[in-house]
Amino acid sequence: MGENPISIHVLGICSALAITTKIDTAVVMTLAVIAVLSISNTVISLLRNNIPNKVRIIIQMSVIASLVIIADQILKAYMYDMSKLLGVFLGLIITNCIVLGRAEAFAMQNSPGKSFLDGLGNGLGYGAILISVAFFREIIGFGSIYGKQIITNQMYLSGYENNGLMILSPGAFFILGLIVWAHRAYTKVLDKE
Amino acid sequence: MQHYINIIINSVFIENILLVYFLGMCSFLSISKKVETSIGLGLAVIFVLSITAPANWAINEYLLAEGALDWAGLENINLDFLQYIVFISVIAAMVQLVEMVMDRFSPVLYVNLGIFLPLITVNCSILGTSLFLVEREYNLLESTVYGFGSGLGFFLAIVSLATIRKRMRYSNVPPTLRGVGMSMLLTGLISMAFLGFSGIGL
Amino acid sequence: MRSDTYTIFFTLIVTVILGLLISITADTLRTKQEINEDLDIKKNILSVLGYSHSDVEWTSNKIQSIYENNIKEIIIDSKGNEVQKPDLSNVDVLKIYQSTENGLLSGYAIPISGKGLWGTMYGYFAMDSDASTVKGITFYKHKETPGLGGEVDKDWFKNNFVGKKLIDADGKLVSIEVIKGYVSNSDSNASHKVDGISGATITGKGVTTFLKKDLQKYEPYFAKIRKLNQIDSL
Repeated sequence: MGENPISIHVLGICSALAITTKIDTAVVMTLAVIAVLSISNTVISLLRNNIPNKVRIIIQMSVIASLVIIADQILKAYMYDMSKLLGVFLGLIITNCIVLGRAEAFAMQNSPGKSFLDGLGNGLGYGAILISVAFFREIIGFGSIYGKQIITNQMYLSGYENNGLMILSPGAFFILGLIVWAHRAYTKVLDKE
Repeated sequence: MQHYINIIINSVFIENILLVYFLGMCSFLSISKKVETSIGLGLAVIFVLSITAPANWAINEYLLAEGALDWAGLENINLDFLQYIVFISVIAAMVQLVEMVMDRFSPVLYVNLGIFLPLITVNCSILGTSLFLVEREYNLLESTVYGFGSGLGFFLAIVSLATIRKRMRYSNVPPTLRGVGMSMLLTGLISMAFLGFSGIGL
Repeated sequence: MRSDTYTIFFTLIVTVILGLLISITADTLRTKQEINEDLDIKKNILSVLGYSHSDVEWTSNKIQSIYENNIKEIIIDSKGNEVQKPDLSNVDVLKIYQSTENGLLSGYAIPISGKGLWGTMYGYFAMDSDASTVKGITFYKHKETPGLGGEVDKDWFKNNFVGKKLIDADGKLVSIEVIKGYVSNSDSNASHKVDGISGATITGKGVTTFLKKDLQKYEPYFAKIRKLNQIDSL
């Protein structure tokens, strides 16, 4: 992973940052994005030689939007509580920079097989960052990991307090900035070697 | 009247679509390098939002929502599952319109904004605003005011960040932190500052 | 260069196919979704009326059966009169959920909603059969900040309401106030107040306001209940 992919992934998660207060919501969101991204990439790749150039973007967006609607409907039927927590943010996958970006940059020029894998890979990269942010926000903000309380009552009694700022929006921005910094520093170290 | 002012104050300061809901960052981060383009983009977003919010409200109210079609005698049809796709189409159409108008009346701005104008279509904040106003069950006037306020909030955030980034060029930012990393931290600080508004007694 | 006819044709086909896919999905899943929503509401009504699910797991069948056996829905108009054949599209009718336990009337629950800090909050409020002691409160939908306003749905906040009194010594409805800070035991009005949530004053104020507003809507009915209870106990 070089410099660009992580920046792109960071931009792509913007629409989902609001749900990164807990890890479980981040996991479900990631699964939805992986599903939508890989399927949309495949479908668009299958159609790539037939799409008239004028309506290219609209067709791509229609495919993506339809997949998101289907994902939303499935979630509402089978994971009702989770769909309430994700709210409108599931729908915002449509405007996710990564999904449209990969459709245009990769799926339009490559075979369905490769496009599917590209979607899968990008989805996983997206998930890695999203879940990392959620991990830090949940542990520092709530003292739990995936719902399981990690910080014990003992620690609370001795003066430890959950950091409320993590739960609010600035927390997510700070964590993201720090993750990007850490990653860049890491790859720079790798480059030097 | 107070109620509508409250909606604007709410959407600009307390529930700023970018600083609180994180929506609209994609184009925001790439364009906020120059203050002039940021202002241009911000104004375009205010305009697009002020039009798409009431348009999408009307479509939802009279076509999509449950029982919406009873003016056509089809009150049992519930098309709200089409919301995402219809809203984004309306937004795309509106942005196309804005592009044409801008090209006609202000070609300089049109050229400067370049690729970013069509990118407004996929800007999370536009679709997000429409979806939020449906979720909060606003009426037509509230939706329009909210759309305008949301755009204003976005404008404020993006211009603030652009001006700060301009100053940052003279600071000693560690090389690995430059760019996206620094912008994130800066946005976090601005967001924290705006948190101070959450105590306003509306 | 493709012809325009091809473009239109292609777009049309894609639209039709996608439209079909979405509609089929939405349609087939709709019943399941509606059941989910219905169960969610029933679960909330049951929990606010004190039915606990800590010992028994609440499957959808269990929820349905407990609800059917113990909850009766009453529709009233704004004057507090029970309406027999309710026209539910009339927005002025109010719903009450009456619970019975072992055949004895055990409580009433009403839907409550109003403005919090970030948006409209929705919940249920329950009172004992005397229509003056609080039995419970829940919030099933809100947009408050987790850790701050979001604490309204936590047990510590909700439990503070249980046992509080809605009416004062003169029989007048005073509702419950979410104050700032802690309720002092020496406060003579302590039975009408609950502790606030630190950092979430606006949410607390919102709850106080809309709780009172909603209770006032139902007051004609419940005042009658209290009067009947007084007569009964004579």
